[in-house]
Amino acid sequence: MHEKQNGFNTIFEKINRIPGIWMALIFIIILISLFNPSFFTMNNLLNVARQLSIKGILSLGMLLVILSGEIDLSVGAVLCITGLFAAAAQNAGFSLIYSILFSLGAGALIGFFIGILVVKRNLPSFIISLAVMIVLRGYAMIFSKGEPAITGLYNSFMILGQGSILGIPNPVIIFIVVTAIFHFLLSSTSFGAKVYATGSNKEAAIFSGIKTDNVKIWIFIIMGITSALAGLILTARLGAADSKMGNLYELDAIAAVIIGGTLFSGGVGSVSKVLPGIIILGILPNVLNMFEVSPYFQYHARGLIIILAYLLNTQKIGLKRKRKLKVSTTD
Amino acid sequence: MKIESLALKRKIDDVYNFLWSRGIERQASLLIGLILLVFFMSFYSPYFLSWRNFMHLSRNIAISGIFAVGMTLVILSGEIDLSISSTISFSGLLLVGVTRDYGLFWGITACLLSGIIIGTINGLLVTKGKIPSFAASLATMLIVSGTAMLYCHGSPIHGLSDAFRKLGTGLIKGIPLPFFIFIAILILSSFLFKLKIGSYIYAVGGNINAARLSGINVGKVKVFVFIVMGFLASFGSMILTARTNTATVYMGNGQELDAIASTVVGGTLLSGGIGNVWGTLLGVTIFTIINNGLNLLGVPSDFQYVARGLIIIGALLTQISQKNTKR
Repeated sequence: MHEKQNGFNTIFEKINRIPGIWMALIFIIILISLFNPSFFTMNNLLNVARQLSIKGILSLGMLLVILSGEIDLSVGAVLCITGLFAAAAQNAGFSLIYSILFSLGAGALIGFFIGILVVKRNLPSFIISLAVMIVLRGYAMIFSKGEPAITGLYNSFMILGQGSILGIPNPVIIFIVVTAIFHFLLSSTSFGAKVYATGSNKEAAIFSGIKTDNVKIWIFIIMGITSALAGLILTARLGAADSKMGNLYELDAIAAVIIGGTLFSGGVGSVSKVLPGIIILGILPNVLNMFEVSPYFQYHARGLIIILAYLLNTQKIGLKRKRKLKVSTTD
Repeated sequence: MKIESLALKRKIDDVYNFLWSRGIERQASLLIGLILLVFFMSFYSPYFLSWRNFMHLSRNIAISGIFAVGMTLVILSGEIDLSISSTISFSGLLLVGVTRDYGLFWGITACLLSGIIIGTINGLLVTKGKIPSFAASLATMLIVSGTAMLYCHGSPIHGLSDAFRKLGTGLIKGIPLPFFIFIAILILSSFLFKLKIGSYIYAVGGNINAARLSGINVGKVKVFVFIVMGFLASFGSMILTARTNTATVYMGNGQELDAIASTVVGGTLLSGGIGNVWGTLLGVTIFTIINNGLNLLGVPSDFQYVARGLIIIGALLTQISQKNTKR
C-alpha cells in the first residue's frame, strides 16, 4: 500500500476503523437529536442509564460465558434468588455486609455448580443452565412462601440502588466500574487471553498448557457473582425482592452480546463492542416512544436488530478473510 | 460349567451391544424409571389409575408431545428452535381471530400457514443467513410475539364453534381425540426416518461436513426440519386452542423449554445425530406423570419446577456416564 494519502483519505480510514456498532449508536443518537431534543435532558439520560445498568451488568458476564463458547440461561433466576437471599438475610437481622456477602456467595456457588457439571461431566451448558434455571425459579417461589414480595430492607442497603453520587445514580456508577473491570480483565490480563484461547480453539489452548476446564469453571463463577450483583442492585432499587423478578433477563443479556458482534462459536467479541449493544437495547424503548409507535413494535425492533447485527458481522468477517486470501496470493 | 457361563456372558454382551447400538439401552433405563414412577404413584394415590386421570394425562401428553416431536427433529439435525413458544401463541390467536372474521376454513389455513412461514424464515436465516439457530430463532421469537401482541392488543380472544372444539375435547370410544392424533404423528415421524430424508437428518446432525461431502443438500434438510417444526407448533396450537376455547399471547410461554427438556431427557443429544422420537415420548410421559402425580399428592406447584429441573440433570448425568463407560 504505497498510495499517496491525502487528508480526506486518512479521515475516511479513521472513520472506517470505528466498529460498525459504534457507528450505529452514533447514527441513532443523531436521529434522536434531530427529532426530539428533550432526549438530551440530564433527567432522561440518567433515567435511561439507570434502567440499562442492571441488564448491562448481566450482559458483561454473559459476554465472558459466550466468549468461552458456552451459554448460561440461568442468570435471570440467579438474579432473583440472590436478591431474595439478601432480603431474607436482612429480615433475619444479619448485618449489611453479611447479607451482601451471603448473596454474592450464593451466586458464586451456583456458578461453580454449573461449571463443574459442564466441564467435568462434559454436558452441554445450554441444557444444564436451563435445568438450574427451572430449579431456581421453583425454589424462589418456595423460598418466598407465595408472598408477593419480601420487604423490610435496611436503608443503608437501598442506597445501592436508589442513591446517587454527584448526581449520577449508584447503579450507573457500579455498571461503569464493572465495565472497566471486565475490559481490563479481557484485554490486559492472562486470564482474558486464556478465555479467548479457550473459546476460539479448545484443543490448541489445551496443548499450549491452558487448563481450559479451570478457565470455564472460573467463568461460570464470575457469571454467578455478576448475576448476584445485578440481583442486589435490582432488589435495592425496588426496595423489595419478589420471586418473579429478573424474568427473561437472560434473553436480553444474550441479545446485547449478540448485537455487540460476539460469535456464538466463541473467541470473537470484546467489551468495547458489547457496550454500545447494551446502550442500543437500553435506549430502544425510549426511541420508539418518541416516534409514537405501538410499544409492541419493540419486539420487532429487537428481533430485527439481532438478525441485522449477525448478518453484518458474519459478512464483515467473510470480507476480511477474502482480503487476507487476496493479499497472500498477490504476494 | 465354566464354559457355559462364559458363553452365557458373551450372549448377554451381544444383546447389550445390539441394544446400545440402537439407542434402546439408554431408553430402557428411562422405561424402568417410568414403570417405577407409575407403580409408586398408583400406590400412593388411589386416583392415579382412574379412567378420568388417564384421559387427563393422555390429553396433556398429546399436546406437549406434538411440540416435542418437532423439537426432536430439529435437535437431531443439530439445531435448536426457541421460537415455537411465540408460534404457538400467534397461530392460536390467528385461528380464533380469522375464524371469527372469515370463517373456519380460512382460520385453519391461516393458523397452519403461519407456522409453516415462521419455520421457513427460521430455516432460511440459519442456512442462507448463516446465523446460529439459537440467535435466529431468538430473533424470530421476539418478532412473532410482537406481531401476536399487535394482532390482539394483548387481550385474550375466544369463541370457536362447538363442532371444531371436538378436535381438542372430543372422545373416540372414551379415549381423547388428541391422543389419537399424537399417535398418528408419532407413527408418521418414525415412518419419516425410514425414508431418505430421515437418514439425511441423522447424517447432517451427526457430521455436517461428511454429510455435505457425500452429496446431501444440507441447507434443504435444515429448512425442511424447521418447516416441520413450525407446522407441528401451529398444529399443536390448534388442538390446544380447540381444547381451551381461548387463545392468549402467553399460552405458548415455556413450551419451547418443556419440549427441549423432554427431548433431551429422552436420550437425544443436543449436538445432534443421536436419538429418536420414542425416547422423546418417554420423556414427555415422565414429565407429564410427575406433574400430575405431584398435583395428586397435593404438593405445591412450586415443587414441580424443582422436580423437573432435577430430573433433567439426573437424566443427563446417567446418560452421559453410560456413554463414557461404553467408550
